[in-house]
Amino acid sequence: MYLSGDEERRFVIRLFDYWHLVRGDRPFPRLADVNFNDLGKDAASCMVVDLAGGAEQATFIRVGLRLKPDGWPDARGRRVIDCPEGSLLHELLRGLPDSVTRRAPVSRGGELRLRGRLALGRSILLPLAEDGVHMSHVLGGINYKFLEEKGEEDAPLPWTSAEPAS
Amino acid sequence: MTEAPLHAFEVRLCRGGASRLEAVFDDEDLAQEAARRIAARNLGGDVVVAPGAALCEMPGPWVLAEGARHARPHITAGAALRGSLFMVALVAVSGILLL
Repeated sequence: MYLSGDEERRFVIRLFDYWHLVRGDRPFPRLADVNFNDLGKDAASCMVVDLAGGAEQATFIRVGLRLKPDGWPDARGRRVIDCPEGSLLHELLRGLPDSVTRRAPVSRGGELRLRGRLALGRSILLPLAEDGVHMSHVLGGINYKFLEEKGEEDAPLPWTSAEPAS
Repeated sequence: MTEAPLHAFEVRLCRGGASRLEAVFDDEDLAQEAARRIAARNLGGDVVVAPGAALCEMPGPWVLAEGARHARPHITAGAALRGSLFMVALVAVSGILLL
């Protein structure tokens, strides 16, 4: 169901393919259609925001371990606008206005600076809708590798399938 | 991730004379791969990749909280020239009317 790293090496394509699969014939899938256990270790690089209060008041429902900014042990309920600049989560959310405006998955990539180091990253934001039509949430994911260190994106993490959705 | 406007490649599903935006990528290879995977699902119609409007570049999502829903306008040279000509014409007409 969810492509393995052997089947597709590009994270954003794996996530897009899964989104497309669970969407079916609807414009957008529901949040409940996304089973984070299906995503394996990629789930740690994903987050979900709730657009109930509008994009300006978006809040986090879930933030994977790889994305949690320092000092955010529990991200659930935190506002997107409070996301610390320079964090991976912040980089991922740069595309949020585009995704909301276009009502479509948006993927972007490029250089970014994390903890003072230059990295190459790529993100994707995927609309979700509780009624299958009107965007209510956004599922997003981002991965990266430091330019001077290859393979950082696949570094092991203390992630388990029982990771709480925070 | 970048300071410059990003080129966008739109993946569209075209059928029955209509097209639906399936995804937007700033990388053509990724857009092509996404299109290939959509086409493999045999949804009917054609899956195409076409150049789209540039992706917005914003300093961060909190700009939305300040009321700016859209990225700063990207004014092309042509639009700037048309704007300048319009202003010149407006001043000229105003001057004539005053005389």
